[in-house]
Amino acid sequence: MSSMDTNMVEAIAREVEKSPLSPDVESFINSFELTSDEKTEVVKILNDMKFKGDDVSALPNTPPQIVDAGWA
Amino acid sequence: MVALLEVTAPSHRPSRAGERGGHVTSEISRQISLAGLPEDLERVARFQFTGGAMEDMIPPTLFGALTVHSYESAGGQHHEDVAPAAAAVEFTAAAASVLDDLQDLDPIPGIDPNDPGAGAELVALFMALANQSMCGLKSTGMSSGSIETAMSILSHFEVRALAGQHRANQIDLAEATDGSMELATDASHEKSGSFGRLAAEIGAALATNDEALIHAHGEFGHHLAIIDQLQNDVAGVWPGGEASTDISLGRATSPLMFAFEVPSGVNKAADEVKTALRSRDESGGRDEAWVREALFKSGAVHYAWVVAAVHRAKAASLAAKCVQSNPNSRIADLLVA
Repeated sequence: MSSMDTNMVEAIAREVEKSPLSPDVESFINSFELTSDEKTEVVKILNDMKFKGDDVSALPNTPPQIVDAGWA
Repeated sequence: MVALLEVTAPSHRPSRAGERGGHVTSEISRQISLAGLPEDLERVARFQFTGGAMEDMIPPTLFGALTVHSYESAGGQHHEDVAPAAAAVEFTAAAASVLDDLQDLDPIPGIDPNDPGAGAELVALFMALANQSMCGLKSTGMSSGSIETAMSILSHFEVRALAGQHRANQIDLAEATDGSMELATDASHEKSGSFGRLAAEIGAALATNDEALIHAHGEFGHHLAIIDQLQNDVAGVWPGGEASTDISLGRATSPLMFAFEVPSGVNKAADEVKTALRSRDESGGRDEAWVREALFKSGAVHYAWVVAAVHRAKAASLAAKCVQSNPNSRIADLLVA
């Protein structure tokens, strides 16, 4: 893992109580060498997830899916 | 305050099983029958595709779907022709699944847990059935050249997936150090990514000789399989989720590796997860529900989701490229959540 990635790990751990789209997390996304269209797609997916402050007990029983990995 | 993922269930989830999935399950059943196995061995083999009961076969996995969708996306006309290849991919995935269960000491439907040799026999059987199924392509009228290419792809990426599995098993979470996360990520790409790549490339190679198009489908399959793996990894640590062996066995999954990668003193939850998992064999170990909640608070799930979103965006770009070559390509349907 590069030093930049290590910094990003630290940033996510520090900012998990804020927003996934803080400048440091956005910098993490940029480290993946995305095209502008791809970055727009990533931001849209994360916005659709609606990260917001609340209690863990309010989470759904199963995690959200970003693709339906099967046939049915 | 804790970050929360709030999602709304999709109102409509399109079914992709239907006729295409039916052809693949029929082919799996036919290939097992063709093998002329002893009755008890045939029963155990079928168990792996029926959820452990002598009932209808469950729909094929993502990998079988990738083979069929890639075949049609690359210009293949008759999806039933590619069913033997999709069945071969399913047999290969089943072999890997049984091997995984053997290595994790998880139960295998129909196998006596005190007889690991029976599990090894099943792994060998599924690998042989994969080859038998690929040979079935000859009756479809496909060229011997394209069948040979597909068989080469299967062999190459089977080995790569096995190498990735071996590397992943060598990572001991309790002794994780700086750089362990990179090793775990590489192993996951080699293991899961190889399965996605082989499934998609085989389908595309049976429809076209265009190497760039075959490669684009392979890359798409790679990203999709990584997303699938990340989703499974998140499910294995999700607060309140179903029981999983990821935490108890200390598997080197992305969320768990993330918690170990966070420098000490940065995040209290990550520090507590590290302490708990390093002492999981001692009296100081915490219960699993506690570890799951602490992992969520550490940002481990958020990290996995950002990475999965990146792979989804890459997959969407590749799907768009496939549509440029074939406006009738429906490969992007596999990205629907």
